[in-house]
Amino acid sequence: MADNTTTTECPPLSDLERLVRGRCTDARTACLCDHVGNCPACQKRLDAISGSASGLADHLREASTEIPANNSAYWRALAEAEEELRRTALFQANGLIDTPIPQDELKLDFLQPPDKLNRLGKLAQFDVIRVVGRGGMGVVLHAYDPSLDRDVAIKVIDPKLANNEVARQRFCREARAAAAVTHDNLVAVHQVNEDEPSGLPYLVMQLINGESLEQRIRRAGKMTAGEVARLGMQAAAGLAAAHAGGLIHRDIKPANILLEAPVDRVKLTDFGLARAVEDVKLTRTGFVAGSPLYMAPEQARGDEVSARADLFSLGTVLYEAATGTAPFDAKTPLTVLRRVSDETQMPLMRINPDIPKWLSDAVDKLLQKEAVNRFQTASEVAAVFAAGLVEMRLLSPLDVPAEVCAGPRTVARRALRQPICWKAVACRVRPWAGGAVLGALVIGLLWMFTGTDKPAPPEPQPADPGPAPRVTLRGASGTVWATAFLPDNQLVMGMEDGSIKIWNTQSGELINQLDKQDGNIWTADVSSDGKFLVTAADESDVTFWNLKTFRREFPLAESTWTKVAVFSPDGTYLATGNRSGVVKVWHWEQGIPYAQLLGHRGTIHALAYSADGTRIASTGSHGTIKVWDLKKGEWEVGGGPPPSLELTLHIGAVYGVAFSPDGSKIASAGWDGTVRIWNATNGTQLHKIAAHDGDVWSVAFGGNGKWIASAGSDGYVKLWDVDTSKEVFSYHTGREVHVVRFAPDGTTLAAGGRDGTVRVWDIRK
Amino acid sequence: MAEPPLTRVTLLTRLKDGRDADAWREFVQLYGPVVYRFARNRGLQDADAADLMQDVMRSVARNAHRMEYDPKRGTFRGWLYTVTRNKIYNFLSSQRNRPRGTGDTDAQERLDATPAREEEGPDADWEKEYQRRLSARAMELVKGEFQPNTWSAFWQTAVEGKSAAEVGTALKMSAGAVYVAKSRVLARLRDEVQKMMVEEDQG
Repeated sequence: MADNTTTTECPPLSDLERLVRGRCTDARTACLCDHVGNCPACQKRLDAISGSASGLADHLREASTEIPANNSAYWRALAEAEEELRRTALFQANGLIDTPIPQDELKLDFLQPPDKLNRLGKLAQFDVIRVVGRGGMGVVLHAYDPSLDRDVAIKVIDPKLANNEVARQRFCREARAAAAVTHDNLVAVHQVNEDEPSGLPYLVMQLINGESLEQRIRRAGKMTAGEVARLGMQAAAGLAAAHAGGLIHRDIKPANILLEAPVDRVKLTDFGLARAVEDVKLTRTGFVAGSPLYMAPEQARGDEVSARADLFSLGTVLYEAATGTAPFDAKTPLTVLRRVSDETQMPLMRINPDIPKWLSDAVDKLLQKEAVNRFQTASEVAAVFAAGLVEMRLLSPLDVPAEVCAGPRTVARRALRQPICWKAVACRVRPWAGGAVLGALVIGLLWMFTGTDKPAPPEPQPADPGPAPRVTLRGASGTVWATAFLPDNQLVMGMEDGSIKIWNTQSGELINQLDKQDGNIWTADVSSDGKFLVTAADESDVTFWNLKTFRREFPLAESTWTKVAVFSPDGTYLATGNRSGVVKVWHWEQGIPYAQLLGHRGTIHALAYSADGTRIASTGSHGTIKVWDLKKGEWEVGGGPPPSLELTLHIGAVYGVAFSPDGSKIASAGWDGTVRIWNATNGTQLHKIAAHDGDVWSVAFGGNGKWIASAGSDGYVKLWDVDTSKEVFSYHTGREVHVVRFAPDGTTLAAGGRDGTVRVWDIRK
Repeated sequence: MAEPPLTRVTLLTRLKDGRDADAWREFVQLYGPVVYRFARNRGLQDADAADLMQDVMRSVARNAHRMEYDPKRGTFRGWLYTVTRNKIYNFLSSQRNRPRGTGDTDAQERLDATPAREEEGPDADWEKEYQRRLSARAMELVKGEFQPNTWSAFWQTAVEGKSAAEVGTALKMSAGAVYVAKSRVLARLRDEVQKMMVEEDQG
């Protein structure tokens, strides 16, 4: 045993600290233990060092006595939450991911050191956050662009390719060509550049939240007929835009087709990049690169390819989506090549009886061995799929992509299914024509449901169109989709070429013209104090305008593709709806999203606030009207309440919705040609009015809730008595009417549409 | 690439990455029990508290990619508290609206006791549940580092409150050795808890 002097005298504090950390020799530890056992002062010092006053022991005691019983629902929930989170997390990760990447394969030595914590490094101005994936071309990074405050995907060319001058030139050329084409179904290429220190070319692209079709098929198996048709239409629309820009993809395959969450919007990526890889691999191996599974026969032979090779590849992709297997799958690449060239696939409808004949036939036509026997253009393909979707009631004519109509008209005419399209400006439409929508992306389509090749004869123009408007404001900038009353007898008009014009409704004079926006102006609304105007256009941000200076005040940090924006009655909030089915409520002056109302699918076409500002009604392509009570329940800022009402009786898309001034009723209108009036409290339908012959585009309450105005593709503006649902006013403009609005006085009515005018009436009855 | 010591990958960064399945398991293990216990303390039944916990975890999954460390916007723990409290409030409100026999007045009282408005930070109950969970988690992590005797000495004195002499006799250790064992384990636990808290605050 140790001598008494060392154990009776208290050791220095540093010794006790070492003792607690287990850093004393065994002999010294034994000595100190003896001392501590007999010295209450040192016991206290030990307690202080180890923090026994911290409550830790209490916590442990409580925790150990409060473990839920073995049969508690807690354990099941814990396991389920774990499994669910893991799945969601993996599923949400960016669609560009192929497989987990072994760290040793990654050479990120071209990155500059990071200047922030938790970043991998810097590339030019971009903060690289993580590696998203690795493909034949190089590595894909998720990065943040501080100058534009957005997340991007950066594809950095493989150093092996960068050293090959031909491949490198081609990479840059194809990438620049891709950057010149923008389309909703293409992954946008923001920038092509070369990293100065390393000399590596890189592409800056839109970061897509979702998964690739390859991942989807692997995760969820084959798709339904409707999903395949939608995939075909959107992919063909994207291809059509790219082909029109002179781009051939050359490597359409499930891994290059991304499905953007939450609505699975198709986004094609990696345009033309296959070619740069080919250049290198050809010289190395003398054999074609790429994915033979999805290759057209002429491409597999190494012949010169045209855009129709992409159509063949699209056919193989759709075939795989419908069946879960590529049509020419085989054990070796050589066998695949032989099958691609020689074998005819089993028609889809014989493998899966749920596939409609038109879809099966369309895929067979895409898979013709000779390019001349395939569809000749991607727009033709998009048209066939759009028509099929409309027939399946899965698509509103309003959502048909523009490319459907970009192809040669003669081809469309010959097709058995005959979608008739009008390009907004180029084509003249007769009064009998059905729904037509204008703008850079979306245009109209008339579907002959009878299946006859002959359109119905034009109705004769009525001799008397109806009560003459007080004034007709001629916008002279194409179709009017948006109008709103301003204070002091002024009115704003938004048109399809991006013009926004302000008029005096008394004198009929043009007062001002705001800076032109890119693309069709879909929506315009004025804050209740009359100080601000908000507009949204296809290619522009949601923009606020100062109505004193008529200047652009500031944009909202919201994506383009906003379809509708309305101020709350007190002017504090702005509600927006976009093409992804998302409704957001903003503290617009601060640019902060306050609520996000989720659950719609497809485009949001209309939004309305109740006069007290507590409720929002939203609706769109999917045909359901949802009412959200923002004052009900508690929800996190940035989230939102569940809908308090869902009105589901409309057939097809709903284009217009309005609250009565007292908040007791909701009016709605849509593709089915009806105006419906609902009890806004319990959701029962009070009236169903067969209002127009064709789509009804807009509704508005007037006369302090006495009337509803409606605008139809039959060219009529009509007014209905809310209590009796009788027509009390009708005016025929001769062309589609898209928007109706009442001034706050409830008696001044404005209507605008295809003929490029807004007419104003004083309704007195 | 060697990692600089400062960029230690914290749990929240790993969650944001989205692909780290282990991170999710760790997360659920750490916070799930906090949410469950808190809900039970607010009067929810076992099944309801379990469902609510699952619901809160789902909320986190949906928002994980948006989480960015910003001290001005408060801690992650504070945010999780807000989410949990709101969901409890909603649950209790719905119970109030749909009275279920005798539970009705209780639900109303509990609702009234639930703060409806945004506060400065997590309340004391929540904080206590969180500390308990951190302690328990730290215990799971460090227990293996100690000899069984050392651990027993710690547990019986610090947690069960027995005297060092009594425990020493049972474990055939001197009273001094029991004191030292307790201090060692406690110090190690404290470090681990602190590390987890720092990690969370940096998330």
